[in-house]
Amino acid sequence: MLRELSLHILDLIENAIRAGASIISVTITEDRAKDVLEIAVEDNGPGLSVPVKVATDPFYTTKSGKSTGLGLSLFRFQVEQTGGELTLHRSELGGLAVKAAMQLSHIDRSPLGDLASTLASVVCTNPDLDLQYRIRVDASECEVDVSKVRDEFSPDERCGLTIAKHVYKQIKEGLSALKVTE
Amino acid sequence: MKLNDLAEKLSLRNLTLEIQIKESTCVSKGHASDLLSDVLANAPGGSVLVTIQVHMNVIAVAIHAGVASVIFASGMVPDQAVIEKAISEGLPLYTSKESTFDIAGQLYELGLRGGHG
Repeated sequence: MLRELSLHILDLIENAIRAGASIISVTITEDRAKDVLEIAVEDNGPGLSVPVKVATDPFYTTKSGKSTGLGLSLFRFQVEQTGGELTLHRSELGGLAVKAAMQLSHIDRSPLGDLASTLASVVCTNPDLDLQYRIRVDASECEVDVSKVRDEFSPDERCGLTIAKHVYKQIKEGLSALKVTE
Repeated sequence: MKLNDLAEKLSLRNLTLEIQIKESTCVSKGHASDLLSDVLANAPGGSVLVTIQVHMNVIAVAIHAGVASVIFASGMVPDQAVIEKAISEGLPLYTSKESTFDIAGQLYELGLRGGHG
C-alpha cells in the first residue's frame, strides 16, 4: 500500500501509458449510504496478456531486469485490507479496467490524497493523452475531460503546463464543491 | 552484528531453517514499519525489517529494497507459500511473540540503528 490512494491511481495510469494507451478514464465514486469508495481506472491499451492472478503477483513484472512488480499487488493489498475487492476485466474503452471497491469509513483506508496535483502532473507530462476524469459523491458529480480543456486553447498555446494548470483548478474546484471525504 | 547471533540473543524463531545463513552475514541497520511503501522508500539496504504484515508483498518489497532479513512481531507467522517464496529468494524470516516496539528496542540496545542513526 502507498500512503495515498492518488498514488495508486498514478501508478495505474503510468502502467496504462507504458502499455500504449491513448485514452484513460479515472472514475471515483463515493457512496456514503453504502459506505463504499470505488476507484476505476480504464484504458484503451492492449489489456492483460496474463491471467488476473499472475498480474497481481508481486513477483510478476513486464519490465525487463526487474524481479518484482509491486504496483498492482500493493494496490490489491491496500484494497483487501480495507474490506474491499480489486477486480480486473476488459474495459469498454477496449483495454484494461482496474476497479477497486473499499469501505469508505474503514480505519486503515489511505486518504485519497492530492488528486488534483497527481492528475495535473500526468497531464503536464503527457499533454496528448485523453484523460477523462469523473468524481461522484452520492448524486452529485464533477467531470473533467482533458481533450475538451485542450480544445479551449489555440495550438501554439497548447503546452502541457497550461493545460495542467486548468485541469488542476477544475479538479480542485470539483473536490471542494462535492465535499469529497479525505 | 552477525544475523545468527542476533536471532539467538532475541530468542527469535527461525521460519526459514532451509536457508544457510553465511557466518559473515552482519547487520547494523534496522527498520520498523507496516506501511510497505515506507519500507520501499526508507528501509536501509542490508537492514533487519520488523513488521506485523505477513502478506506475500512483504517478501517482494523486502527483496526490492535489499532488506537482509525480516522479523515478524507479535507472534505473526506468514502462510507456508510466503515462507517458501522467502526460502527460494534466500531471505531469512524470523518470528517473535514480542511487539514491534520491544523488538526494535532490543535491536537498538544491540547497536543497530535506523536509516538516519
